[in-house]
Amino acid sequence: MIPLFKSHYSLGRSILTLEDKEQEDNYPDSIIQICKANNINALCLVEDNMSSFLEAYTNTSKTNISLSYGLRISITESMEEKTEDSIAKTSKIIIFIKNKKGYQTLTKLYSIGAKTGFYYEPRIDYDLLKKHWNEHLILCIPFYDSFIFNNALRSNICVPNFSFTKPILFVENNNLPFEDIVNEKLLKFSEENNLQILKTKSIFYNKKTDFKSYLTFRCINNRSTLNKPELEHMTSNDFCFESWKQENK
Amino acid sequence: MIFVLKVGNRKINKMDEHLLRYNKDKTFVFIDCESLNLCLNFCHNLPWQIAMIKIQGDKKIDQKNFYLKWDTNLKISQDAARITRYDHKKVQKEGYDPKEVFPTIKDWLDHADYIVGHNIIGYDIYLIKEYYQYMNCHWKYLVKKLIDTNVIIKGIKNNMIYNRNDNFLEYQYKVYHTKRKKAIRTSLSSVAKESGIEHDYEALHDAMNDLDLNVKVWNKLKWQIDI
Repeated sequence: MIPLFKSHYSLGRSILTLEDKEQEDNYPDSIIQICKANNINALCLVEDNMSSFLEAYTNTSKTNISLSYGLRISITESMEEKTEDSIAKTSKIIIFIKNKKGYQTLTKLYSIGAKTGFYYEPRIDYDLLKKHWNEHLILCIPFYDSFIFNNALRSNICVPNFSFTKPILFVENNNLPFEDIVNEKLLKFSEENNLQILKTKSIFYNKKTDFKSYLTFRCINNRSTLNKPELEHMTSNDFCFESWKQENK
Repeated sequence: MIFVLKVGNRKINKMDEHLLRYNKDKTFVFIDCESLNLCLNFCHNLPWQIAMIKIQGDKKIDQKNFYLKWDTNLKISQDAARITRYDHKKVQKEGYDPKEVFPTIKDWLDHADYIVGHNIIGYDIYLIKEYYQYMNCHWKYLVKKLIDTNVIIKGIKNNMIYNRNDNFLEYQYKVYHTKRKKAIRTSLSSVAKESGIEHDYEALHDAMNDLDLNVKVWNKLKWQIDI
């Protein structure tokens, strides 16, 4: 199972930093420190924007950890369409970079998405992705908020177009009630299209007991309170490194 | 918009015989949890009352009303205490050890054909899940049995028609995630009042009273949806 770390650079989504520190202290946990303490030599970092790249690259290079950097971004049918209806055609993808050329392409895609395609959030579309696609990138479909997830649980009408590559499908299990529905659809899609499935776990905090801190952080960002978080399905304390470790024993 | 739930007095079509509205053998457990606040994880919230009503066909066959006394420093929020009419003395006096009553709750839910609740998909299932996990038990098999009356009402009022060939749980999640239109009210009391259901509305938010109303609303709703 691949741990997919996310740092605090993905605003409001994770309480983990990318600091280079040797051991746990009273400050926020660091992904680099977690990797070092657990002999993880390959870090998979999936961010919602690209601002963490410099710190991630610098600190992993210093500590001989190989970095797989991925951007989780919204993709829609047409970037030009900026209407409420276009939201129903939008889902998430993850684009990993293999090397410097991949980084350059991804930066370009993200810039276009943040400038031209922006509608509540940076968005790209399938035509743009196809136009810039090259062998220095890897396309993955996240478990949550993908076209499979949104079409199954949200009445979305996302029609993906992956004619230019074979995406890898990510599957997760974090003890949420709707996961089996998505799983079933994902398996079917993988069989029909002969696509690889990888078991993954999104990691936003270190230990299960950190969930309350994480929830507090999410509530602050959501301008809500712990007594009334108003965050749909925010129940699982399994999005953590501890849980990944337990499942990988 | 006035919304009236219609009770069918139509003839039974042979094709419809399998529908829940005609099935007298299936067991339904209606469940409602009252809790300290609206958090969905036991790190900050605990249920202090769990009420259940067991129905077979149209007949009420049993009911349980448990007050739960947890060993915790968590305090009930002011809002929750006011809305749910929380009575600390009563909970302390009549409350059970959660470990003691869990086997009964588990037995009821495990053996039910359907588990019904108002907003069970968005709320109660998470408290049930946390309770099962607290007792080191699996819970995911319960999900397939869920019927959320809040979601069904929202679906009907939003003209999101359920196709009987579709997965009902999937349909419920789709409706649940659909943006609520401002004018649409789906609370038990408003829907029941709109439909002219007689009930003691003054005592709402007592879990057992809510459940009684939930059963009455379901008995009308089941004629509106082909499950």
